[in-house]
Amino acid sequence: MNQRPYPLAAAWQLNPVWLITLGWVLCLGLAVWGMPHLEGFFRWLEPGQRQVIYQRDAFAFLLLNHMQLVAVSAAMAIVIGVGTGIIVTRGWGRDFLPLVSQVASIGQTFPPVAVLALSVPLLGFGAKPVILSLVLYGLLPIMRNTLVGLNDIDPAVRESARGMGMSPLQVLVRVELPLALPVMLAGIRTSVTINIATAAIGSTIGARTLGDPVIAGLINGNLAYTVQGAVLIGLLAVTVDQLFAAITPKRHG
Amino acid sequence: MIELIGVTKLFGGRAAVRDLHLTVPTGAFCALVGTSGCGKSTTLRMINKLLPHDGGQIHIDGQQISQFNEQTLRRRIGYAIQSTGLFPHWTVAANIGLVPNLLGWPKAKVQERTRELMALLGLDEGTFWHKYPSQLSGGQAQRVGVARALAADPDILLMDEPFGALDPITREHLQNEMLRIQSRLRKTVVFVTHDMDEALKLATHVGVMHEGRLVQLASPETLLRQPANGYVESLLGSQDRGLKLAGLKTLAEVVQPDDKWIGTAARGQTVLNLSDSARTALSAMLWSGQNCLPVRNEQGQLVGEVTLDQLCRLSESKA
Repeated sequence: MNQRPYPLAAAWQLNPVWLITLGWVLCLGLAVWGMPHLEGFFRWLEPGQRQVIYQRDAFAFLLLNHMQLVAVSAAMAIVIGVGTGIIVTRGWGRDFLPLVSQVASIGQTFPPVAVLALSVPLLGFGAKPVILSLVLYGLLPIMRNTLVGLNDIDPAVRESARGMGMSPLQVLVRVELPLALPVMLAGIRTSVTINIATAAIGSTIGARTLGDPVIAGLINGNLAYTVQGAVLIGLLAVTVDQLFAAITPKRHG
Repeated sequence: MIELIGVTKLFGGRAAVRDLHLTVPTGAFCALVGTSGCGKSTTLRMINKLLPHDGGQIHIDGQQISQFNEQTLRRRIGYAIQSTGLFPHWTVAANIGLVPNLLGWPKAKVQERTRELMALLGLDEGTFWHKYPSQLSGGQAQRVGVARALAADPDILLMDEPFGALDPITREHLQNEMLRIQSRLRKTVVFVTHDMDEALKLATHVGVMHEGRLVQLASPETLLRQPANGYVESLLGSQDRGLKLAGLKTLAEVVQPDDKWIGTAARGQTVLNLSDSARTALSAMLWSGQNCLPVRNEQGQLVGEVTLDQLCRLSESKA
């Protein structure tokens, strides 16, 4: 006990994984704030360009908008994915299991770009089609892991929970979901991390994301813009991934 | 009291249990014995409505179980299974306190009851209170499982091969604990096992099941002396029935304690206890090569002796 590998964390009674997470959050914040101050570096990268720092929107605005898009679509994917995962593992919903798995697989195999292209005529330009494509793309890992997590529970545990007199809702909320949580969180983590990267393509149809500088850079042949967007997207993905690592509960034994 | 009247259970058109009549009086320990698939576990699971029955009636203390709400019924019935089914994400104390908590007992009362049960099952509070099931040995986990089943002080206890997965030494230990607990608590127990020796040792009533039917329901001694048919006989093992019968009798039933023995010292090295079974006495005679051995009481004083002749007559006599 007195030989903790992270003395700072021990001093704050903090799990070291939270310190690492805090480090990445600081990194991301520093990058958003410091990007315009790196003009010298980007001028060296793109000496021919008149402007080397993306200026149409503030990076902080793009970052927040990007996170909002991912958060909204993740919330919807979690509600749908976990919800259907629960329904098809109940006695009365088991018949829908094959159908639901197939639909989710199709959602994943359909390229998000194609979903964008097809949904713009229906939903118009902007955030809505992006959210739709992100939800479809992120659904499968969440639902699959919910199913795996729930099905991996020792049948004896479920049997004894019922045999002790727990109601179906109590069995679900107090036994099944807590036991499946680590696996479910792993699915949500995969889904969110992928969608942080995928959300960037929303910039092609007018959503404001960290993809804006990337697309602008590609169109104008300005590598500096592209690097700025890409670095921020990457940092955001790593930070959020680390955040999930921090909140995932440890299994006992 | 548990009564099963003409109970039938169908699985996909096949009868797993057919026309079963079984009465377990209050305070009785009824063991259901049979090979795998004979319907004994199915019968048990119908009593607490984990499985619905397709025909007949099941009564608990005179009331049909179909009139009870499932959850209410199950909270009144203790339930222990072979693989324990302890919640891996809950501590030992939380697992034991499950049913009292479901019943809404005050926190302090649940804690007190949990302490009581850990003491009853020989689980040290300091060591086990905060442990998780994965940190327990098989025997310890099963103790927790039995404690959990007893937690809300139910009148009825259903046990599905609770000691089946344990090593022989731990199993015997827990069987003895079970006898001790049952002699104190006098629950109405239905105990499923495929181990005839376990049934003979623990039960006051042994029900032998075969292909969904109850073939015979009798006391262990009657079962041994008058098996209903060849199937029951084969479960009893034809060769060592005499030994099994001897295993049911203690020397207290054979030896008349006599004060004249008190104070004398045993001649040989082998001394038996009044609580030993006649089977143990036979084994001791075979081992020591003597046909007469001294017996002592709980206080360790000699109270008499037992002869091979006495033991032979014991097995002849009708109950």
